[in-house]
Formats: sequence, C-alpha cells, structure tokens
Amino acid sequence: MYSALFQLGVPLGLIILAWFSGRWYDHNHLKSLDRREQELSGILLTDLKCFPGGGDPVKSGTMVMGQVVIANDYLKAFLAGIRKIFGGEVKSYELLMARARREAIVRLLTQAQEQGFDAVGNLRLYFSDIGGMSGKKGMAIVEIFACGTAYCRTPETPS
Amino acid sequence: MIVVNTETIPGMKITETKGIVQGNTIRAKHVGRDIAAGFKNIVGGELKGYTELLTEARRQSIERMLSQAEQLRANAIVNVRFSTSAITAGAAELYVYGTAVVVEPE
Repeated sequence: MYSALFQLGVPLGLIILAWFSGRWYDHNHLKSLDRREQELSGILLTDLKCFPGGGDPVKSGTMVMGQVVIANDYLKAFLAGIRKIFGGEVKSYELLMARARREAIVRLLTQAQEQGFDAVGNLRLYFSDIGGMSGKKGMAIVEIFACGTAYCRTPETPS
Repeated sequence: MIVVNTETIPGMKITETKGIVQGNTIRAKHVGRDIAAGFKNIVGGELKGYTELLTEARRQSIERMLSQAEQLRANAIVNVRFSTSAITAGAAELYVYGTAVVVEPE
C-alpha cells in the first residue's frame, strides 16, 4: 500500500513543485524580456543583407551572437504528453520556443549595443535539440542561437 | 580581423577573395545523465551551465577559423555560417565556416 502511495505521490509532488516554479520562472522571465526589449527598441533589427541605412566605413560592422539553453518544466511536459494522445497545438512548447528566441535575440542586441552599434542585419536563428527530444527518453531542452551583423546607421541628411 | 555573417561589410569593399576557412569543436551535447539538467527539467528555466559550455565551444570554433584566415593573410571573414551535427548519441560537432577575404575602406 505504501509503495503504491509512493509511486503516485512522487509524480504528483513533482507536478505541484513544477507548477509553482514554472509559473514563477515564466512570470519573471517574461517581465525581464519585456523590460530589456523596451531598452533595446532603438536598435533596428532586420534579416536583410543590404544594411538599410548603413555604410559607415569607419565603424564598419561585426558579427554579434546571442544564445540560450532553456528547459521546460515537468508539469508542461506532462500536459504535452496528454496532448500527444489527442493531437492539436502544444501551447506550452510554443511558449518555450518563443521565450528562447526572444532571449537569444535580446542577448544579441545587448552585445550590439555594448559595442556601440545601432542596427543589426542578416539575423539568423539556429535551433539545437539538447535534451534528446527525438528519442523516447528525451527531455524538453532546446538551444536557440542567434547571430547577425551589427553596423552603424548613418544619420539621415535633410534634403 | 572583421567577421560578419553577410556577404559584404558595411563601408568596405572586397579586393581579394582567399577561400573558405573553417573551425570546429566536438562537445558532449545530450544531457541524459546530467543530474543538474534533470532537476532543471522538473522546475524549468535556463541551463546556464550549458549555455556557457556552448558559447565557449562556439568561441573556440570561431578562433580556429580566425587562425586559418590569418594564415591565408586575409583581414576579414564574410558570410559566416554555423552548423551543429550529431556525431554519436552523446556528442555533437559545432562547425563554423566562412569566406576569407581582403577588404579595404570604400
């Protein structure tokens, strides 16, 4: 009887722990992302190769990078497992990927700003599966790597 | 040494193209037996240790690419691309490549 209780209690305990920690972490992370994106909103971010507004031979340009490895929590993985039975959108993993992308891009923009650039072009996002999700015993851990070329925008000359 | 991931560098023109340069590192990628990662997988959040590990691996690959370019006497690398390939069940190769060129201001 105790072993059955234990077998049920441990996953339940993990789910409750994950629920609290997941909510706390998500809330803090999203707040931090909003704040930093606001601070970095002056930087023009594009995935164009033609450097809109650029061409300064003195400051030139350089590659900037940002990356993050984020894990999903037990509760979301559990809910995704249930979703796998019925099919449809897995919103919890969508949120994980969105947060990872935003974080990688914010880090890239921070690096550009620190080096004194005010525009980034040719943004590329690379995805990597760290937790072995493609296997049966995989964990939901993803890596997003963002890179781009930072440059300076020349000020508009009045005609 | 200027490094960019576009085909041109703003404000510079390419005078000579040297060729492809590359750098790579092989790292253990999958976290199957990592206890800390297992814990993070329960509570969620960023795995700072792995982020730093992968940042360091990429930095090392880029350094190897830079030393190849220096040997060719180039002063810039353009069109840099990254690639991650799984080697065995537990390891991945982080590969970076680009074109080494000689540039001068326009």
